[in-house]
Amino acid sequence: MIYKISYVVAGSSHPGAIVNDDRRPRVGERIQLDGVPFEVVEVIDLMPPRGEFAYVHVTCEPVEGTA
Amino acid sequence: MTELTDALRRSELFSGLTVDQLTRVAALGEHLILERGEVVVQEGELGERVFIVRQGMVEVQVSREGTSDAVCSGPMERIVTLGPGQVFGEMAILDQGPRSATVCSVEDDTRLYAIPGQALMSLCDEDPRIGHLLMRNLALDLSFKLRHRNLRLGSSGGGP
Repeated sequence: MIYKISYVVAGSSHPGAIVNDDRRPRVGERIQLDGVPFEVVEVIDLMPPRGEFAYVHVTCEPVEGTA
Repeated sequence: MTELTDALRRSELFSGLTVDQLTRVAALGEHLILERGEVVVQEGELGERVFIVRQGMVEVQVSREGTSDAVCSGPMERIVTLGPGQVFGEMAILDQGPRSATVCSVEDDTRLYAIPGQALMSLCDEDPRIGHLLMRNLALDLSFKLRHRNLRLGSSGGGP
């Protein structure tokens, strides 16, 4: 499965990102966008899977002290 | 399957195409390698190529007064960052209008695959099965981007 992920960053001027990944993000883990670390606070299915693709929305927040 | 056809298969734009069909698409374009800050698409200019991000990240920006933290120079609003598998430049092949945004790389060694829009549309005309899949996938991709934009605007960190 290929996860097409919409990252939206709350509490930051970062514009967010759309990327494909082989794994689904999980709440609590840290990810990097443009080299900046963020913490995943919400993961939801944006729409039903189609073919090889699953569509996921992730809300993340700046890691304290790095934004 | 070659490395390129596998990379295209992993882009939603080409979802559902057979290996033979992917090979036909792969024969149309060229590889681009960008350094951080290089502009690949300039807002307002005419252009007809469609780009697929193979490696690295690009940032989509539009002209705005009063914003200044974009990677490219000038007063730009940052719209979204696109990573591997994502497509940009697709609007120009649909409506033949000028580029609606500036796109630049935000990482060194960002790798793109650029496909001339006219060649892609000709392939769609020659093979309606490919045409149907590409147009459906383009619509899905634009829908996803719109959902992302709406979610961003709805978040506390959204907007300029």
